[in-house]
Amino acid sequence: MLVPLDDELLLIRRGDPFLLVAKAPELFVLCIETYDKELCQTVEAGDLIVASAPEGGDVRQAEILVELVRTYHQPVFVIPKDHPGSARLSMVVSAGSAVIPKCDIVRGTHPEQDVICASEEFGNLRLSSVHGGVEISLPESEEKFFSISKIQTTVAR
Amino acid sequence: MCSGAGGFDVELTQRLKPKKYKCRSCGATFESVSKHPVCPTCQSESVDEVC
Repeated sequence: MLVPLDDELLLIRRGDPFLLVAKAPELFVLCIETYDKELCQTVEAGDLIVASAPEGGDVRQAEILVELVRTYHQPVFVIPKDHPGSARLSMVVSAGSAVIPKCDIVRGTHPEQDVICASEEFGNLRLSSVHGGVEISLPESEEKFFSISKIQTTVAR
Repeated sequence: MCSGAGGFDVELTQRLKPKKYKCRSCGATFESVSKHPVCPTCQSESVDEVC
């Protein structure tokens, strides 16, 4: 399904877990900081910026994560595997022309920005940027389990 | 089950292949994983790949 999206936020929820999706308004460089190097990813206008809350939580926290990247171009930090910090990450963020939720990756450890740690209920969902909106690929039989709504960002743009 | 911390991790088939670039505008060197590299220091798109 295609959902039109401008500068508002798209909330995709299934029970407590949710994804919060935004579109980049302009081209910018997202720096991905690993323990020993910096990788740069060009985020194109219209690309997706997605925050994931695998156990749910406050949507405002996810909004802050999204806006730190979308508006303030805050670098993303990637931690090594087996780092205890993974346990502290209740929400994670990713950016790209497409974002694929996966439940079998360790939080915060993947510099690949086309995957994001999410609840297993999101395993069959795919998000792609399309002109003027977001394409949500989801088996028709699962659509009824998701609630999809738009919320306005509280960050002045 | 989502693995969360300390759980099973998959080996992703698509690994990042960063390339090194030098900005023609400001001289900064950086590594980019994008097909469309942009200088993170001055936002210039005028960059050269360096070996």
